[in-house]
Amino acid sequence: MPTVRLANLTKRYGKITAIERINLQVHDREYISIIGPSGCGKTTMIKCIAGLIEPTEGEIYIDGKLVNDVPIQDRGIGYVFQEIALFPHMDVYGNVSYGPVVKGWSQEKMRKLVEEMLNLVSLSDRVKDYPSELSGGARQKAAVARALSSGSLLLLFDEPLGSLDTKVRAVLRRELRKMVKDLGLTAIHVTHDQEEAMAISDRIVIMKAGRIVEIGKPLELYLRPKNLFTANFLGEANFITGETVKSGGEEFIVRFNGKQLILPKEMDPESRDVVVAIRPEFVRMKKTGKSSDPWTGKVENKIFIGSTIRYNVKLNSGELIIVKYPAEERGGFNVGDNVKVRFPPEHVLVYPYPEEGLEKRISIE
Amino acid sequence: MPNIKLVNVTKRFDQITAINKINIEIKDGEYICVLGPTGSGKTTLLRLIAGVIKPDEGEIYIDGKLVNDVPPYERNVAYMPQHYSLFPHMKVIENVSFGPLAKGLDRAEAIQVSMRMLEMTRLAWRADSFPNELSGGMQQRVALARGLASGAKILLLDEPLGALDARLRVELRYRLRELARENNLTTIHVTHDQEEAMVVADRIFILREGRIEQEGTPTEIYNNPNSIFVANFIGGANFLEGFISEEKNGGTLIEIRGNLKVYASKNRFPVGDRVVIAIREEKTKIHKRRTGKKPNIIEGTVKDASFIGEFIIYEVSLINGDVINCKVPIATSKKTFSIGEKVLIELNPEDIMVYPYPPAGLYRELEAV
Repeated sequence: MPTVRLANLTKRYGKITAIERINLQVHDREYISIIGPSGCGKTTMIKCIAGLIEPTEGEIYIDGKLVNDVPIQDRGIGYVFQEIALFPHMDVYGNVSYGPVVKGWSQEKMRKLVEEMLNLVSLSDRVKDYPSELSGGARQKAAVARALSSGSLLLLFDEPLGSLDTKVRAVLRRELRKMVKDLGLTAIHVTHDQEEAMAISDRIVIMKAGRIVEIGKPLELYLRPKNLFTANFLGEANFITGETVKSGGEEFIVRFNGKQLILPKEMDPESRDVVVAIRPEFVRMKKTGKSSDPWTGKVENKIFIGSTIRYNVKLNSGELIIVKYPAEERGGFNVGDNVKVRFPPEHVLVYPYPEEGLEKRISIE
Repeated sequence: MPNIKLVNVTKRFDQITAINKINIEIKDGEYICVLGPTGSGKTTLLRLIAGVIKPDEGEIYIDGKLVNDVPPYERNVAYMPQHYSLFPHMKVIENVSFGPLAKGLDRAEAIQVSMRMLEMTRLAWRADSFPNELSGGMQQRVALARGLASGAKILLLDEPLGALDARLRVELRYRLRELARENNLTTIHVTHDQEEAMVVADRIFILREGRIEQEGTPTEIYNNPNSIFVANFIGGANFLEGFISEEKNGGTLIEIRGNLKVYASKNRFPVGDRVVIAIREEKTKIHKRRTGKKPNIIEGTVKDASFIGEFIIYEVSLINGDVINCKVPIATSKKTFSIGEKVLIELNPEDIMVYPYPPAGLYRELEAV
């Protein structure tokens, strides 16, 4: 029953705080991803769980047991870390059977397990190859097989697909999730790739500047992020400043770009100054004649991104709005078209204007 | 008028032919992306144009002038290699003004030019910082400003957004495109990221093993990939093996695994030929039940669903054993499908692309990316 619990976990390097009072509960058989911009502390956090970094404060529990003083090899974890490579002097079989050998398993039991794991990652025909003879993808697979064959029920991954091309990554991430689920394991996976995190995880932990910003299921975080930072980090969004016209009672009305919009009451942040956010694929537009309506404007730019077309629309109010449509919807819009833009209320998100300013809150650097 | 022309350019390193008889023409002010798998020759091509290395055969022209023997600093190019380095002991502004000063501009002028470039890359506020005080993304923008400040009209960029987090890449690629346009630059941008290429490029060159596999606008390449390799590399697709079974109504019937017949409106192969059909994941339609009389409906079962932001990708196992992906936009589709659900897959005859069966097998061809 591998669960992981972090209580007030903090790591400081001199004056720099890498992570600060992190609290997290990972459930048994859960696949959790940790994402955030460079320097947000995600790697520090997973290395603390592994036992590669000693926390300054706070506790780490694995299966309910405090492990702060337990060395890495006794924490019952399998791991794939970017810089911890395969043993170069051992072939694939040697690498993958390393854990079972160290644990003193019988030959037969070991061989069966190793073969099974190599089969899972489809490397059965490469057992005699040395790491230097493998492609980047095959090396990553061998590292995963080694982690799986350690027999650990808890796996820690730090950018396990990091060095691979986009195409290969997409295939491997699916295999990785399948393996973890089929074997009933618990996994914590650090990545810089939002799409990977969304595709692979049961829940995602979003971090910024050493703290957890938000935790949630991929679809929830994408459609209903509680924090402005999440809205920007997990895919593109339009951010528009506005003000609340009516709040607290039966109706919730926000005014932005010179017009009012009635919104669902549950979006009401009860704040005068607000930021309205909407993902480009939810903004709708239709062709229109010339108009002085503030939510009418001109298509300034059109970019084809394969399955999606991305438009820049300059509204009469001066605001630039990004709009996306699936590319197969024939017709479409052209640069120079006058269009009327609509913000479907069910997809509009409203946040209190952040104290530190909008730019700073959503900054991903 | 910086245009670039390569005629039969070949570059070998010992036994390896990195660039093999390449012919290209790039117009003034064009933004070109060079895409290809690792080892396809992308960086070598850029270095040849920059003048860092010389071709073994062929000619390179810039502005109509043969430059084979012209050194890099006289080629009017700003070259930003993948592993660029900033001077660590110099402030941002000193890094950027290094080129203009070396060219003999006086100090005030050099600072003025450099500040303008920093404003363009939105880093003017960090002019007095040292490189190690900046994030990776900021450092990359400093390097870019330094390239721009050199005054060169040709920008050669090798994975300019490579070191950045995925989300930041997306933000900066649009800025990069604007910068090139505002400064009227001719740009060659090497990347392994096909989405990045489609977004910024006027034209894309796809390299494979030192040759140009296809060139065209992003739309041309995406809509009409001329090989399995390109279809797979740009955008990805579902690929199914089969053979041409009969000509029909100007199109053709293709028999795929499990004796299933699929109708394609386009065909250029004779009956009996072994082929591969391809269809984009977003054009592979998924339905709960049959509506009207449509061709190419195949039964299947949903095996997996993964949410990737704008889209949900359903992995569907067809009754004939083939597995395909359906990419469904979340904003415009009302229905969702659950794992284990029986579904109908529709392949629109217009959207089916047909390719000859690759000599080394389909799997090998798909691995080549």
